[in-house]
Amino acid sequence: MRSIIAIQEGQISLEQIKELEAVVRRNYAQFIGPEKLTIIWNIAAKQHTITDRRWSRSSTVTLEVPDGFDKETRERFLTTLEGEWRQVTGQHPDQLSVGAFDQSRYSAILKANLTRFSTYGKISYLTKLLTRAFLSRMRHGVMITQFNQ
Amino acid sequence: MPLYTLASKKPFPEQTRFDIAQVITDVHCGLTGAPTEFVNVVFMTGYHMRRGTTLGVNGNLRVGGDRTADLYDRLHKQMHEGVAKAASLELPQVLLTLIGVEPHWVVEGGMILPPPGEEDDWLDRKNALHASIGIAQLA
Repeated sequence: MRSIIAIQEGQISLEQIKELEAVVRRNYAQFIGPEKLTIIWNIAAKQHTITDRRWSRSSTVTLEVPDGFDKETRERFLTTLEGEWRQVTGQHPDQLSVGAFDQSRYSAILKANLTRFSTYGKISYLTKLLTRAFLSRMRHGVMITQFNQ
Repeated sequence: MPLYTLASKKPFPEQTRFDIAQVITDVHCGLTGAPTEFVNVVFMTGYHMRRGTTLGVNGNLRVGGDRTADLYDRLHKQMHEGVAKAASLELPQVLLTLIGVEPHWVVEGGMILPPPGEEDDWLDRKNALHASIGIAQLA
């Protein structure tokens, strides 16, 4: 299973990222299941995200869950994770979005993201993404990359 | 939610990025009735786009509630035209894809998102919840 977490440049420290990743993994294991979860942190450059018509300070957490996952459990997972996340970051509730998507829809979204790129663009994007993510994991223990290539 | 991601090879100027985001917010909220605070727009640069495409726009938005297939058709058409104009591009240079997401798959503002058409009641409940736990509205 996959999780992509978008945060703003300079918004969350490396130590907070590590703490948040532990929070995500613990809640995922508790509510969703024991599946392996690959988490990639994606950092947006300043003045590249707009929320509610203003330059954004928001974070967006997306996770993949099994198709047809139980509605009540999914909602408890989302609200619990959202609350624990904000305890770490101190963010306002309006600055955080947490989503748990059915696996098939999550795959469709990721596929649509790649459809925009040329064949070379897809290879280049995935190579950079994986290289940055694995170098980050070697250095910091978490996989951090950035939106801008 | 909605979340619109925009990918291009070269970065658009800051003012153009801001203007494109305003158009996306105008079109999305104007047609769907969603509150502007729901709308997120992310710009990504440095990507080799497919042939003929300068700007790739992907939108993930809530489905169900009072939204019809006709509304999604109009949203696609107006969003496509509005973004192309704001980016000073021809229509074929902009590739737009919309994918629906069930509202109860997402938490924002500390609450599960409402079905489309139930935003007013949801906002009232959210603001009451925030007030009850001492959270001020964002300035």
